[in-house]
Amino acid sequence: MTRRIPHPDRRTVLASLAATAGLGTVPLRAADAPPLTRPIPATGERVPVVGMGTWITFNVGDDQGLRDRRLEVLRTFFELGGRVVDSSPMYGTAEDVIGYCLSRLPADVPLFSATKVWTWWQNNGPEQMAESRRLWGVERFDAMQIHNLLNWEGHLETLLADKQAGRVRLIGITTSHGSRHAEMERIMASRPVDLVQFTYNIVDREAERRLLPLAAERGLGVIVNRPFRQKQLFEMFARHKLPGWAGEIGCANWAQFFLKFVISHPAVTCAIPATSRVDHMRENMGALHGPLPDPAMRKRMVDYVENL
Amino acid sequence: MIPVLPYTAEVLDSLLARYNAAIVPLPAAAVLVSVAILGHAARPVREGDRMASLFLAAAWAWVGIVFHLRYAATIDFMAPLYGGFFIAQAVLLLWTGVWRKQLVYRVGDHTAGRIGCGLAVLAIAGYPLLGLLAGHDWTSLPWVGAAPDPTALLTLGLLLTARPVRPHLLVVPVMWSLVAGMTALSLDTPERLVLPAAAILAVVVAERIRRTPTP
Repeated sequence: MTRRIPHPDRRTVLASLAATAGLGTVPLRAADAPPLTRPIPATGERVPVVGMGTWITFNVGDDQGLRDRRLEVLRTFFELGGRVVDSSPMYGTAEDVIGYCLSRLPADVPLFSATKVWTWWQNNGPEQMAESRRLWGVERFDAMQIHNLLNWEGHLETLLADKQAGRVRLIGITTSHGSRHAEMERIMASRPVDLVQFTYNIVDREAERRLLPLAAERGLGVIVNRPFRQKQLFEMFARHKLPGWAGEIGCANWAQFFLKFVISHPAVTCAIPATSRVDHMRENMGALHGPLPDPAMRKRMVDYVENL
Repeated sequence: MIPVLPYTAEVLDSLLARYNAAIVPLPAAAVLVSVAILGHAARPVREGDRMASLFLAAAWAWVGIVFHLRYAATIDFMAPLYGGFFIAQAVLLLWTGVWRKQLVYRVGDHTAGRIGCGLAVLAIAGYPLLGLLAGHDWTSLPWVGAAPDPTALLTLGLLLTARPVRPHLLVVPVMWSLVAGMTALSLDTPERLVLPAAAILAVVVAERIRRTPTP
């Protein structure tokens, strides 16, 4: 779990927030039932299978109202059993907004912090990672990933030294939109990384062919981005009725249907859907409970959406 | 395929509102100067052409440095690149219009001049009005000389009034128009499609002028 740097004004901030209608009035509590978790192979640490991404959704600039709304999204995420929060310096003000939100939440929220290094130049990597730590308000990241494999050889060298020195716990590499899978596969097979992140959803299943089996074989944690293909899956399918049998796998809505498909793959550690809305966060986190589809049900899910 | 931007329309509006509030009264001054330039193009005044080019160059530099590099860069990793192109356009306008005095803005009695004048009016008044009609708050409206889209639109319009056509000055405004078009599609803000439509018109008209033999 990430150790957070105490915010100097926390007490004052929380007191003023508690006095503000709508903020700070909902106590943090664990969800009634324990959430579904999976171990990160490198450490054995278990994390909830639904995390949170921040692409677009947490890039809200300096807008105070929008920042406070994201605070409620993150508060809900932790209340409902979430842990893994993923971001990147590429996402504009997202890391700054995460730090803003974290500084207004209790210090003991069970954050698993994951961000990325995203720069062409290896020499700029340490400075960028230090800035990310400052923005989030954490002493070190649980996972530092090389964004879109950008200068991965240089950054991997830095991160291996950082891991040795205890500045980062886990090293990862990322890609998205199904790009550069061959290169990612090569790195997974030959380099000492702990985590991989790539796109996988009920429509984009290319990762099933090579990346997911290889991750299982090599004992790598898998973070899945774009589980909703941004929001395209809703645009494609949400006008249709959820199948009656969705209840058998504990799905009350399409978000849970899409998420349960992703997290039921045995090689997946967690999925990181992004949202800017509390109600959508509640829907997403519902996938942390109830039965997961077995292989036959997964096939049924694919067949269903392919025939819509 | 429509590119995905790292922010939403709501966030862009919020940024524009903070930017507009921070630079008051510059947008109002820029509107007045733009109207004066149109007046000059209709009834020329001494040194008016150089002053108009100087204003355009200053507007591109301002938008590049202040809007793109200082404000938009906080939410968009592409903004520094855009800022660089805007500064380059400012340098080109300074070189061509102020230093070499090669830009003479005249509405004149020709179709291209009238179209150019129309695009300039659209940039000064029509573009913010379209934003208002599309539901944007007045505080976040894009103003000529301060925001990239109407600045590019004004420049395209004024360049159509200038003789001879200077194609190298159209490159950056047209490129920005493409960015604006993709932004419009990505953020579902169709009112911003006015700029790429205007750019297509400007390129077609400029090409016709270039091909028309001078007497």
